[in-house]
Amino acid sequence: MQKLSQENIQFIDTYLKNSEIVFADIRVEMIDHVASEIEQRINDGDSRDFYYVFKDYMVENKTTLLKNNKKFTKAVDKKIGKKILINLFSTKGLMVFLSIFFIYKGLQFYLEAAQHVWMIKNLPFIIYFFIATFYFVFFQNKKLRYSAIERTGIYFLLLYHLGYVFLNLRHKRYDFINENIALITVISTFLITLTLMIFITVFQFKKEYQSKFKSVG
Amino acid sequence: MANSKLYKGSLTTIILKLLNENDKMYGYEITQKVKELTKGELQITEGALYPSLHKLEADGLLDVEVAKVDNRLRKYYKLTKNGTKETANKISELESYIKTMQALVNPKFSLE
Repeated sequence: MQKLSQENIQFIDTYLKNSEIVFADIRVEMIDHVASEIEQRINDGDSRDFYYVFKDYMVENKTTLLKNNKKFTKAVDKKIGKKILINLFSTKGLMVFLSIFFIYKGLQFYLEAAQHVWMIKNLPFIIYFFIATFYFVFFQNKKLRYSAIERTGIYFLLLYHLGYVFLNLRHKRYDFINENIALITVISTFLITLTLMIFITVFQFKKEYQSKFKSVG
Repeated sequence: MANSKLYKGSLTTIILKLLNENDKMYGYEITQKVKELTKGELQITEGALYPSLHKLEADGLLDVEVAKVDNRLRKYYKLTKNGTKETANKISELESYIKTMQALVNPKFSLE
């Protein structure tokens, strides 16, 4: 069976990249599918140049390929969410939560009450700032983009808003939260734990991609 | 070609069954296998296949292995332990569905 050349494969890759299929893990599969179909057509008797067979295939199938791209991100979001929850409710998640909680409790004896409350309310954002900066600088690779790593950015953003809402409630109705140090401590501990678990999840995906897609570049 | 809406709900079962019978398969191979087994009667489009494969992977029923083949990377899918268990459930469900439909379409009359 005739196989496509490296140049043909590169052509398909470039075309799909320019068609906004930007994530390497999605594009790899589409390249293989397109290439396999073109090889099949050539072997079934289509004797035209690769470019014409490719053009005909794209006329028939480009819309479907682009629709697949969007559907894929839904599956990736689910995969990310599942992994974050597994990490959050794992032994390491529990250990992180308890460690932070007891550190907060311990610091109560060394800080003034107002300082302690300030720290509980703001430490999640300080930690979030450093971790999110690290994530956006070192994990979001503009040259080679992977869906699970980039889509995790959405979870970071959601977490920020969640934290902001729960730790900055101003209305009188929510005084019971603002005045309850134990509750704020639990919320703050949970937010820091979740931030760290999201970061661990990104790291796990990065390792997985590096191992599975080491030939991509 | 058969009415594709009738087959829509069975796609997951078809994928799981094929992967149960073959160690690992890639997307295009699955479409070609189904076409061959059904003598062209059922043709799965990439628009239907890949979202199903990715959903099954997200649900933990399939695992992915990437290998370099013919100047490109190829994603192979294979069943996880949970996938193997789920395959048996899905096939059983489909067999039950077929029996029910057969009873409706070709009821057997009895003199009892």
